[in-house]
Amino acid sequence: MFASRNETKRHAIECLGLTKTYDLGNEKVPALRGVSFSVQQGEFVAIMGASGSGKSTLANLIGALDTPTSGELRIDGRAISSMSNDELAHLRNQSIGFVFQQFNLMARMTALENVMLPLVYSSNSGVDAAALARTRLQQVGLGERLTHRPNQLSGGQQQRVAIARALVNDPKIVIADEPTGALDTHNSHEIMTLLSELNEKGLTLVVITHEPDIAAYADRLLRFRDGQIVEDTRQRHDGARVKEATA
Amino acid sequence: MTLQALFREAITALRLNLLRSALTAIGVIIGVGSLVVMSAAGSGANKMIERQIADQGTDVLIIRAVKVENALRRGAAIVLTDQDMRAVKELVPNVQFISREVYSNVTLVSGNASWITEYWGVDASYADVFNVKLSQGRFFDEGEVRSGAKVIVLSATVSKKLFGNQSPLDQTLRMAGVPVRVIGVRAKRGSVGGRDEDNFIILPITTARAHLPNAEMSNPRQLSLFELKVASGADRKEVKRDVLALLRERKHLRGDQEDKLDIFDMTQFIQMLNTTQSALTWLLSVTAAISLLVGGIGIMNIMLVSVTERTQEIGLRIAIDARKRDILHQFLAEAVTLCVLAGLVGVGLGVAGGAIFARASDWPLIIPPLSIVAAFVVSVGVGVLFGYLPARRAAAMNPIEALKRE
Repeated sequence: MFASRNETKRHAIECLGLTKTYDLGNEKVPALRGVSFSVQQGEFVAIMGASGSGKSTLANLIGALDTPTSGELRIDGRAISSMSNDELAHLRNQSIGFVFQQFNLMARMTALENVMLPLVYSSNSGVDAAALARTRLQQVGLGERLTHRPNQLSGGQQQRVAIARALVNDPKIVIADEPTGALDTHNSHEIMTLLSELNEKGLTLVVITHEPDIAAYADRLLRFRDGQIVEDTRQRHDGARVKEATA
Repeated sequence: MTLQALFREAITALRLNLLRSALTAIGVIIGVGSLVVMSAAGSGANKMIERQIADQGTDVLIIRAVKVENALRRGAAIVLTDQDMRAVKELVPNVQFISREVYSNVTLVSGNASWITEYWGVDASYADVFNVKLSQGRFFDEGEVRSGAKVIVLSATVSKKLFGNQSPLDQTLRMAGVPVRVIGVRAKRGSVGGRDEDNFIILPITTARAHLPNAEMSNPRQLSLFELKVASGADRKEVKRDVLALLRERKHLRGDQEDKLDIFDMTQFIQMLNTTQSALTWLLSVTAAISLLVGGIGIMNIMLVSVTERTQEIGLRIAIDARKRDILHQFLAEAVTLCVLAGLVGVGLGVAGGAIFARASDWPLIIPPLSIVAAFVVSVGVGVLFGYLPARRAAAMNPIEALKRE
């Protein structure tokens, strides 16, 4: 524990020979076939690939929503495979934030209540949930929209609420699955700018996308095909790629 | 998640589908309402029995000849007379008080008011046999019975019908044309099973025989019945057996002949009430059980619909850190909240329904506080029982699949 803390660059995510096979009755569908990579703390990784390439499966695994069929997966230094459901929930609560394509806000709740929702399930009762949620909404530029419901907000604003919600428990990693998929170009870039700013403050960020100009915001690009990584590239923020390794 | 937050969420979710929630709750409302009415009716019946026991005691035996309904056997009917009563009084041990009685109907007139009621011509000892309580005046004494005094004791209903709210004491009224003086009013007894127990007059048996001819009485010494009180500490059944043996002998009934006598015992009356009560209880229990079952299934059904509708919400909640337990608790809390709210409405309707029933039937209804607690417990039980399956289904959802659902 102390040894790993003393490492200057600790791994936020470590995958080793990760496989995931879906059992559809008489047919077994391999979604991931041996994926190994690691993401350092504070890194901004984009994962690209066509539908069915395995990128969403990977997102679910590193989001601790699912467990791998085989292989080793460590989130924030902790092995996932041996965890119980409650331990996974605890890990999600403490270390991971999610941002979804369809925002997934509760329609009946205000922006503030939506952001407070994860705190309802977390055990640290000393926290002033409303105050914390308000701070997070201010961080994403929605300090004036606390009592609005999702249907009173634009798509971009809704996604900001979702980002505030993902941040409310102060996670180490945020996983965004097609965060701009339901947004127009203008709003897409605003959201990506916001996420980049958060990354600059030290947040580890994994963005799943199929849009190259969204992936261009990342430090590093992982490209998936048929359940395997086919490209792992470091890139500068102007979008020019620095080819480092190709699988 | 705190319990308070859990129930706040549950109420929010239920309010979103207010009409649906209300319709779903009807079964439970009826079930709980029936439970409350049932226990209220049960306590009412017990109260009535207690009142009867306090009023008359359980040691009274009423002896009457069995009416022979079959015309061909009319000749075989026996007739009870003064001599039979005297024989019982003298020969049967452990008879503390005994009184003769003749009864029939009579028209009373006072001023412009008239009223047809039942008269009971009895001995002075009647007051001791039945422990008669008076609200005004006094009962007649043995001297008045011997002399055939024209005095009567009214009941509450008769007093009200003839004299309104004025005191009838020392007033004279005409009983089948004969002027009689009111010397007392019997305390109100209430009603039993919807029958007014305060609609009669009591007068000396001699006065009744002299002035109120009774077509049914072939013999001037004939009695409608006689009643006795068993001495305290004596065995009621033994006295009953002795009375029966004596009367069989006096009426020359052979061993194989039927009794032709009915010896009514207060415990029979109590048994009758108990039978009525248990029939009512049974009926309401079945109603309550069926309503709760149907209501519970309705709640299970609507919760399953709700779980399906909110698949995405459940997926999201799991993704943002809810444990399976939290989801289970959330849906369970919703079912329980719905049932408890239904239970509260049910208790309200039960109390109201009970009050209406009590008013209409004169059957006293008492809502025992315990029945409210029981109704609450039953509501929570139905909620947990029928909410568990949908809640478990919600908790077992795969968050990835759930989130994909639109």
